[in-house]
Amino acid sequence: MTILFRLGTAREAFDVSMTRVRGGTGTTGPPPPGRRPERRGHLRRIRADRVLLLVAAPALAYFLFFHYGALFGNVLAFQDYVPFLGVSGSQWVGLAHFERMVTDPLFWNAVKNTLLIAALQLVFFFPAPLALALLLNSIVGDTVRRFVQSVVYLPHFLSWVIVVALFQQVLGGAGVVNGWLSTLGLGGISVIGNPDAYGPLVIAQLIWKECGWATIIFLAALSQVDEQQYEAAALDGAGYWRRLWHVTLPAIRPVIVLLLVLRLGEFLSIGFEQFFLQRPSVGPETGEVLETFVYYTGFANGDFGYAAAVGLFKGVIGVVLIYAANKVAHRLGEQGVYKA
Amino acid sequence: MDHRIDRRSLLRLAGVGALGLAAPSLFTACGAGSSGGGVSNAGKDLAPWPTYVPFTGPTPDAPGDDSGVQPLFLKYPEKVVRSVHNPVGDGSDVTVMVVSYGAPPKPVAENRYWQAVNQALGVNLKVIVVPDPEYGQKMATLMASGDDLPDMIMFSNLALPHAAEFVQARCADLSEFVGGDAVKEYPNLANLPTYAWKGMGRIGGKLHGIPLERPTPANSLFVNRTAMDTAGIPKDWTTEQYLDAMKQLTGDRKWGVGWFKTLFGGLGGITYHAGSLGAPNTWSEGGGAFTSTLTTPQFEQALEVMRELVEAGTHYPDSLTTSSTDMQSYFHNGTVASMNDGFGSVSLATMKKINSRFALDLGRPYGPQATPWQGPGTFGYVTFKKAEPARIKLLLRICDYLSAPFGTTEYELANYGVEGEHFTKDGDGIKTTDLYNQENNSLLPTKYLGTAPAVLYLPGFPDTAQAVHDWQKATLPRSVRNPATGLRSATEASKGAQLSQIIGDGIAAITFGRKPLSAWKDVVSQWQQAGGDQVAEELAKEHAANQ
Repeated sequence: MTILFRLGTAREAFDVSMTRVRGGTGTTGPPPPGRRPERRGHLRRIRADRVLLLVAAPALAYFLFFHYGALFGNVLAFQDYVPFLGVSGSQWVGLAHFERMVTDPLFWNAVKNTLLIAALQLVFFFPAPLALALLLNSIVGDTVRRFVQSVVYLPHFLSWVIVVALFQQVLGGAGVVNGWLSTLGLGGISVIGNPDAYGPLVIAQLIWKECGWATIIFLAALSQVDEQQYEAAALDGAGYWRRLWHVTLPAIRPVIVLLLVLRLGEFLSIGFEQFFLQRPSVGPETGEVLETFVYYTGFANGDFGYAAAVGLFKGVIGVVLIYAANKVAHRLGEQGVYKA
Repeated sequence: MDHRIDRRSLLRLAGVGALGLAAPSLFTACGAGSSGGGVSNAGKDLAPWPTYVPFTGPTPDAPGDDSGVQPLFLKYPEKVVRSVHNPVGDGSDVTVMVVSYGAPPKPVAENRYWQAVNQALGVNLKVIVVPDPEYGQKMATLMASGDDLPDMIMFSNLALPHAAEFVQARCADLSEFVGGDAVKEYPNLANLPTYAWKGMGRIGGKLHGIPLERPTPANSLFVNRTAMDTAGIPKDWTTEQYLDAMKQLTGDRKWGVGWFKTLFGGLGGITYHAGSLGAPNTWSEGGGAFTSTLTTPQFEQALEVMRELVEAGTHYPDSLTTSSTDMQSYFHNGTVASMNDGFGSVSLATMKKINSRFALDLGRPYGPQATPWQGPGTFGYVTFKKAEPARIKLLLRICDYLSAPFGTTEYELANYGVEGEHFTKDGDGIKTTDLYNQENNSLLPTKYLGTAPAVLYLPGFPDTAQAVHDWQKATLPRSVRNPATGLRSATEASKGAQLSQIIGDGIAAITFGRKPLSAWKDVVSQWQQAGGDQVAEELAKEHAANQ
C-alpha cells in the first residue's frame, strides 16, 4: 500500500512538474489550430519533457547497466568459465553445472543451512522490529523516545566485521565472559565455534544489529493510525491488548504483509558477510550457506561457471517465492507488492 | 571527445576478444581438451634448469650439508664484498605486488629504507602490499580482471585456482634469460640452488619465474623454550610427553597450542604431527604410482593427536577465527607456548618481536619413526608482466640485486637497511636500531621480490641460531621431500584450492570434534572424487615424463 501510495504521489508530482516545464519554457503552448497534434506527438512530448527525461537518465542508465546488463552474466552458468579467457574464450558446457548441482551434497548442505537460518530469521527476526516499534510507540515522552530510537538505530551503522568481532570478543573461548567464568572457577561456555549454538548466535547478532533500524517503517505506519479509533475503543472499555489487537494491528496489516512478501522474495538471501566471517569457526557443515557457497566456489576455487549456476538457481527461487507470496497476499485481500 | 572514448573502449574490447580467442587454441595445441592442460610438462620441450654457480663467500662457524642443514654464522663476516657491479635500473617506475605479513609500510617519502632501496636499484618501486589474510582473494581478483598487470607479481605457494594457467597466459617466459648458462649474466640468481628452481617447477616446459629460496624445513613447530624448561619438558619427546607438555603449559589464560585460521585451509595444521608420526610428505611415490598421505594410518594417528589436544583444551580456544598475525603476537607475548609457522619466521624480525621475553626454539618431531616434512625449497616465485627483452632484463637485475648472498653489501642493504640508520656494525656483528623495527624488508616486503639463499645468522642472538642449528641436525637427516614438488597437474592447477579446502575443512571438523574420527574416510573419498584421484594419475604421468 505504501509503495502504491507513493507511486500515486510521484505521479502527481510528475504531472505537476510537467505542467511547470511546459509553462516555464514557453516554447510549447497548446497546439495551434489547424496543426495535426498526433503527427508530431512523440517528438513534441520528448521536447516538452526533456528536462524530466534528463533527470531520469542516470537512474535509467543505472538499471540498464547494473541490473539488466548484469543479467547477461548468467551465461557463465552454461560455461566452463575461465576469467582471463573471457566469455568468448571459455567453453560451453550446456546444463552440466545444473546436473552437478543436483548430485552435489555440498550444494544441498548449503541449501539446508540457508533454509534453516532463513526460517529462523523469519520466525524470530521478522516480528522483532514490530514488537520493538510497538514498544517505542507506547513511550509517551518524546525526548525519551527519540533517545531510545537513536540508540537502537546505531548498531545498523556498524559493519558486520565489527559486530562479529564484538560477539567473539565477548563470547569467544578466550573472550570476556569465559574470562570471568574462569576467574570465578566456573566452567567455560562454548558459543563461538559451537555448531549447536550457531543458529541462535547468528539470529541474536542480526537482532542486535538490525532490529532498531527495521522499526522505522513500522513506526511510520503506526503514526498513521487514527487516534480517534483508540479513543473510541478506550471508551468502549478496551484495554491495551484489545486495542493492540483490534485497532493497531489491523491498521498496519498492509505494511506487515508488504514487508513479509518482500522478505519472502529474498528468503534465500540471508546475508553474506555475517556468514562469511563465521564459517571457519563452525565449518561448512553448519556454516556454509548459499552465499558463501557461491563465493567459495566462484572466487576461492575459481569455478565461476558452477557458482553462476547456483546463483541463477537462487535467483529463480526468489522470483517464484515473491510471485507466490504476492498471490497469497492478494487472496487475503491485501495489495501486496504489485498488482498484475 | 565522446567518440574518442568510444573508439578506445571498442579497441580494448577487441583486444580482450583476441586474447580470449588466442588462448584456448594454445591449450588445444598442447593436446589437452580441458582448461589447464597446457601447464603440464609431459611431452613438452623442457627449458634447462639454470646452471648453479655457487658464490664463494665467508666461512661459516658450522657448515651446511645436503640434508638441508644451513651454514651457521654466529658472527657477522668481517669483510663484505660487492656482488653487483653494473647499474640495475633506468630510473623508471616499477610496480610490484607482494604479500605482506606485517603492518603496511611507511610511505616512501618518510621511509629511509624504501628510499635507499630505490636508490640502489635505480628505479622508483611502487609497492602494492597484499596482507596475508586477503592474499587469496586479492590474487583471484587480479587474475579475474582484464586490467593491466603490475610489472612484478609475487606468487606464494598457496594453491590459487588457475594460477599456473594465468602465469602461462599472461606472464613473461623467462627460459631464454635464465635457462642453462644464460643465468650466468645474473650471478646472484645463478647462486640460487637448483632445488629452489625445481621447487618452483616449470610451466608447460618453460621457466616463468624467479624462485624465492627457502631452507628445506617445512612449516615447523615454534616453541617457547623458557616456558618448557620451567615446566621441565625435555627437548626430545614422545607422543605422550608431547601431549602432557601441552596440557602442562595450559591454564591461567595461557594455552599450549597456538593454531590459527589459515592453517585449516589445507595440510598446514597437521604437517608437524603427520611428520612426527611418519606419514609420507603429502604424496608417496612407488613404482611410478602416487599415493596420497591422506590414506595412510599414520595420518589418522596424527588426526587423533590433534583431537586429543582439543579434548584436553590445550589449544587457543578461538584458533579457528584468529589470523596468523594475531597468533604470532600471542606466541611472542607468551599467551601460547607453541605455534606452527613457516621456517622463514626464524628471523631477526621474530626475535625483535619476542624481545627477549623467552628463548625461541623449534620443536623436535615426537614419533619414533618420524618423517619430518620438507618444504618445496621455495616460498614462492616472482613473475614479470610480458614486456620487451630490455625491460625483462631490468626486472631480472632487480631480482638479482635482491638475491645477493650473505656476505655482500647488497645483502646488507636488502636485509638490514642502511648502515648508521637501520643498523650498526661492531665486533659482535650487526646491531639493528629502533628505526629498523619500523622500516625493514618485512614491512616493505622486498624480500619477496628476490631473496638470498638462506644462511642461519641471527644478529645478536647467537644462542637461538645455535639452537636452531642443533634442531636442524637432529631433524633434517630424517626429513622427506614431497615427490610431487615441481610437478604440474592440470587438475591440481584448476581445482587445487578446492581440494585443499576439502582437506582443511575435514581436518578442522575432526580435530574440533564436530565429526568422529571415523568420518575421515568420507573426507578422503570426497577428496578423491573431487579430483584427488585424477591428480594422482597426472602426477604419475608427469613423473614418468620427467625421468
